[in-house]
Order: sequence, then C-alpha cells, then structure tokens
Amino acid sequence: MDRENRHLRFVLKYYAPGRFDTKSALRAYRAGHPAKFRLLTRFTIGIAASVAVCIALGYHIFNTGRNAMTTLYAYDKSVSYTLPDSSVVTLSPHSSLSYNAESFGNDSRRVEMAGKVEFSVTKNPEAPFVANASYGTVTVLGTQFVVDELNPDSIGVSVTSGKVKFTAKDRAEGVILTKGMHACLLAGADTPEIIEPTKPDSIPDSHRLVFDHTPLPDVLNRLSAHFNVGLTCQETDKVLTAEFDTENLDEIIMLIEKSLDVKIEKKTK
Amino acid sequence: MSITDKRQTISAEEIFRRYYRPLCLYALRYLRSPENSEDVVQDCMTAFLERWDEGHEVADVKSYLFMMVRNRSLDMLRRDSLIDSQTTDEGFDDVIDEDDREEAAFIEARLWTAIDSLPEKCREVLLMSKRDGLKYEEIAEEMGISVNTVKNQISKALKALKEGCHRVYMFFFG
Repeated sequence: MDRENRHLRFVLKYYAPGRFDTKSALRAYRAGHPAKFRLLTRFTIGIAASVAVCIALGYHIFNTGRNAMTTLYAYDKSVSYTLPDSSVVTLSPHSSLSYNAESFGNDSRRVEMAGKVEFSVTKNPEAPFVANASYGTVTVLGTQFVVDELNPDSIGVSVTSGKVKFTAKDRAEGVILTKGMHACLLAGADTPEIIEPTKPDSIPDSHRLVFDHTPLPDVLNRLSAHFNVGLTCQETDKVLTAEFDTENLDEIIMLIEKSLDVKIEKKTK
Repeated sequence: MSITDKRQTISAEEIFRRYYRPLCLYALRYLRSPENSEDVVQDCMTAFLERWDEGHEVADVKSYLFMMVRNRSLDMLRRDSLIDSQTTDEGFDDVIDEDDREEAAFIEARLWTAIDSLPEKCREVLLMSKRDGLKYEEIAEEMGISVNTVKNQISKALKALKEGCHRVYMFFFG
C-alpha cells in the first residue's frame, strides 16, 4: 500500500492535464516523418525472435535469426572491445556500438554508434570502415579517431592519426580531417565544420569568453567591460579556468559562484 | 491510403502508445522536469524509429528504448550541470532504486492515464487536495461545493485510481 502511495504521490506531483500526451507526441513525430512509419510485423518479429547474451561488463548480442546484430554497451565505465577485424573501439560510459556480425568485414565494415566512441581502425583498403552516428557518417581506411555525439545537438570528430572523411548522413560532400583536426556537425546541417583550436585567454568571437588560470578580479573586470556592468567579489585570490559561450551574464555568474564557491555582486552601470 | 501505409501508421502508433508515457515518467525520475523529459523521450523515439526504418532489428524494443532514454537523460544532466557532474537525487523524498524504475514507470503511467480518465471535477478536486495540499474546506470554498462533496469526490477518485493501477491486462497509454 505504501509503495502504491509513493507512486501516486510522484505522479500527482508532476501531473498536469495534457502533459505526457501520447497523441500529441505521435502527431509531432508524424509531422517530421510523413513516410517513415514502421511495419507492425517487424515489431512483432523483433520481440519474438531474440537471443540475448549478457556478459558482466555489458556485452549484448541481439540475434533476430535472419539478421545478426551485435551491440556493445558501456554502462557506468569506459569499456574497450576488439571487433572481428581487430579494430579496437573504446566506448565512453553510456555509449553503444552495433554491427552486423554476419556481414562485418566482408566488403565493408559498417557500425552504428551512439554516445562517444574512440576508434582505432586496422588498415584494410578493400573494406572501408564506416561509423554511422545518429545523423553523421565517418568513413576511414585505417586510423585513430573519436566520434562524440554525447551532445544531441552536434557530433564531434577528432582525429588522432591518419585521415577520415566526415559527412552528414547520406551526404557525399563532407570534410577531410587529418591528424590533430577536429570537426563538428550540428543537427540538421548539410556539412560538418572544421573547428580551429581555441587560444587561451583570448576571445575568439564576441560570443565566447575563455579564461585560463585567470585571477578572479581580472575575470570580473573583463566580464564587467563585456556586459557593461559592475561585478565585484570579496574573494580576490581565486583563479578561474573556464570557457563560456553564452551571452547570459546571470548564468555565467552562477557558474563561477558554483565552481569557485564565491559570492559575486552585480551592479548595473 | 494503401494497406502498407495503413500498417506502417499502426506500427508507429503502437510503439508510442505502449512506451511514450512510461518512458516520460522514467525520464522524469532522472530529470525532474516534465518538459525536459518529454524532449528526451521524443528525441529517443524519433531516433529509434528512424534507425528501425533503416532496417535495424532490435530484439527487445522495450529494453532498448529504456536504455536510450536513460542514457540521454544522464547526458542531459551532465551537460546541464557543466561544473558539478555528480548528479544526485538529494533533496527528493520520492527516490526509488534504478533497478525498480522501469517497473515503476509502467505503474505510474497507468496511474497517470487513470487520472486523465477521471471526470473533470473529480480530477480537479483530487489535484487540489493531493497535489496542491489544499484543505477540504478550502477546496469547497474555491469550487463552490460542500465539504462532503469534496470528500466524496476524492474518495471516488482514489478508488478509481486504485482500480486503474491494479489492471493487469495489456494497457495502452493513449
């Protein structure tokens, strides 16, 4: 009874008419995907035909009989796996990677990923390695790189060695990245953009504020000048290393107060 | 509309009706924000259906969706707390173990649906009492009804919710 009451209390705390409305959510989905509704039969097959093997660190195999998809997971800790072609993938916590165990390595090496994954790909010009993220694709022959889509609004790719081609999903045009380069694909964009490394203690553009071991009084002076306000703080011996890409001063103040455990006074000029 | 189109439409609808609301309540346990929970679940279901549309077979749709929602919720928590990456449930009195959250989500989705299905006045009285913490007298005055009617409505609502919660047949959260 007590358990039931706990569930009821939780529901009542957040309940509002029209909230979590399935029909509205479905309408929103259909509005963006007019031709992508699924076959019911696939759903039934997907549930009925299953073989799942779970090994302690989170190694799952889903086998539908006709189409053997192997899915690797990392739960709370990073985990490295070796793929059938001897390429090594390191999954950051809560990331996953899947591939078709039957066709992988035959004439292509295609994987699907979610989260953040570091790849160390063995060379094989006959079978290009293709990493598909939710809306971006990286094609390589043999190299080391990281794909990061932990932020749902963008996919980042960093190359440690070798050369990769980074495109939006199903697009031919993209950017070529070599050692040390980083590119970012925003959700909905046609092509990724190469990101130039930021220089410490500089303002790359008007929307970005970078501080690298900067004394707090200097930080406040710069922010005061930037936002045309007067910022002061009793604590003067603290230093800040941070990067802000927001124009919301209150948010910046809150973040500094939280990180340095200080109280900042703001006066409008 | 062709037969294929019709079946495809049913499929997306089935998945939404089975899982959308439980997933929202599951995400809510992590995020504590109904708006963020709705966003996360919508994104996950869209991503899932898109991948499925490309021919991905998933053996256990339910587990897959819950895992996606959990991961994205944790990602959102980490992103939103840029400096303090340690997220806790501290300060909330309704915390339940992670292992029990999936089961809880279905129970709570049934309760949510049962509240939705209450008569409007009955639901309003219930929410004023149990959600907003108003006394019977205050509700009676606010709604222009007698205290006895308030008591009756709340009793009726709780009975309906209890029955709704105990239904064991296949339940859709439409």
